[in-house]
Amino acid sequence: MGPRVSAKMNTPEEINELIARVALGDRDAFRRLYRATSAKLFGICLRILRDRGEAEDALQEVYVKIWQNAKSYATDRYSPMSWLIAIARNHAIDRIRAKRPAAADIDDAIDVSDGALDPEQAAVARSESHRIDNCLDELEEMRANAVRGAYLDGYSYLELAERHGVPLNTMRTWLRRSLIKLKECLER
Amino acid sequence: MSDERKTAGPDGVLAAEYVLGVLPHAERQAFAARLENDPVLQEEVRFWSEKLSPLASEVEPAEPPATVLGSVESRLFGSAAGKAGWWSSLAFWRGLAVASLAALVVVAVYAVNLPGTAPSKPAFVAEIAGESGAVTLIALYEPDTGLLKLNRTEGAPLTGRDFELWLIGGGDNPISLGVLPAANRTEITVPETMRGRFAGAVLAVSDEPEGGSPTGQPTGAVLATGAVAEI
Repeated sequence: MGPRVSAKMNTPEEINELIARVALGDRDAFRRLYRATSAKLFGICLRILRDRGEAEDALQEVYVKIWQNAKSYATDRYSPMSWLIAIARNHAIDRIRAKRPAAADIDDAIDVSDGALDPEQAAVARSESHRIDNCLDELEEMRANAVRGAYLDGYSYLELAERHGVPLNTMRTWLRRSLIKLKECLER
Repeated sequence: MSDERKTAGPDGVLAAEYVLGVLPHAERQAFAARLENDPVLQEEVRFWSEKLSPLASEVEPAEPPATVLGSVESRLFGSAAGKAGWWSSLAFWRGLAVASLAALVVVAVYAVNLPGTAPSKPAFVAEIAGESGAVTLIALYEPDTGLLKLNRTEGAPLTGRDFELWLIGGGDNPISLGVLPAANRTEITVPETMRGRFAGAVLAVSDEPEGGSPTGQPTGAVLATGAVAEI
């Protein structure tokens, strides 16, 4: 299997059309959607679940849900990648919360972020992330990091509190305030 | 906090916490249940999902194992895709190869009698095996399509040699069905003239020079044979 991470990315319009076809029961479109998006969604599951076998099981469930929920995609009014990412993250987080409801084994976290993006990917990432990054920059660095850690690594409040060395309630208060500020910025 | 109610409201923050994924399991489930029938909450969740999703560009893509798509398809599309799933599973066929031909017939009947494709003609199966089991293939012939499907579960030709498949009917000389490709799982389109010859025939695999027998008849050792059974 050749390198495909940096292969030509499908445009949002293409992904949108594929999901619309999947909603009509088009199995070929489903397969193409899988080929176009599974590496990204697998990366997301892997990062949150930190276990390859778990992430593989999760990815299966995610694509079953994508097939089943495709009909509601049009009415959900999500942009295509946001919709797919939401399904993957929701499932991965449901899975990890159900598995270790009070877990805090933070030390076994795998750093999967060391693979550097190539310049093209980085440029795309920069422009897409521009707005959320700017808004996160308005927060204190530690609080911004808590938001990123929750989104990318699936940390629970308990894990965030331990990582940042603050009581659970303090962490929740911090994060809630940060989210309110973030929303104000994002709506600007 | 007065600004909390004003700008986002408790539900607004809860939606953000839900999308971030920080809520404890029970709270998360309770929110998800409310979300089902609450368009205002759904809109909040959509807002946060959209706004935060650019963060996912920081996640390095990772190629999932090739088996995942097949598993998804067999779960979603039922027996037709499921058939493709186990038909291509070497472990499945290896397990079956040590079972009896009766078991093989049962499986093959299932494979042929797919929903919506009522078989109009009987199909044929064979387990083609050598005495030592070093070379073993499972064969399924579907008269409706003229396709002979093969799964090689054990054995591979030596370098510079090929496996050739033969159909031997009654007292006739073996007729070549061609050199087997390198892949374990393959399909051969049986020539029209040979399609009526499966009943009561024997399938055999011989060791031949690269490219197949130069004489049109087996020249090397016959490595595996199997009687064709009608199902």
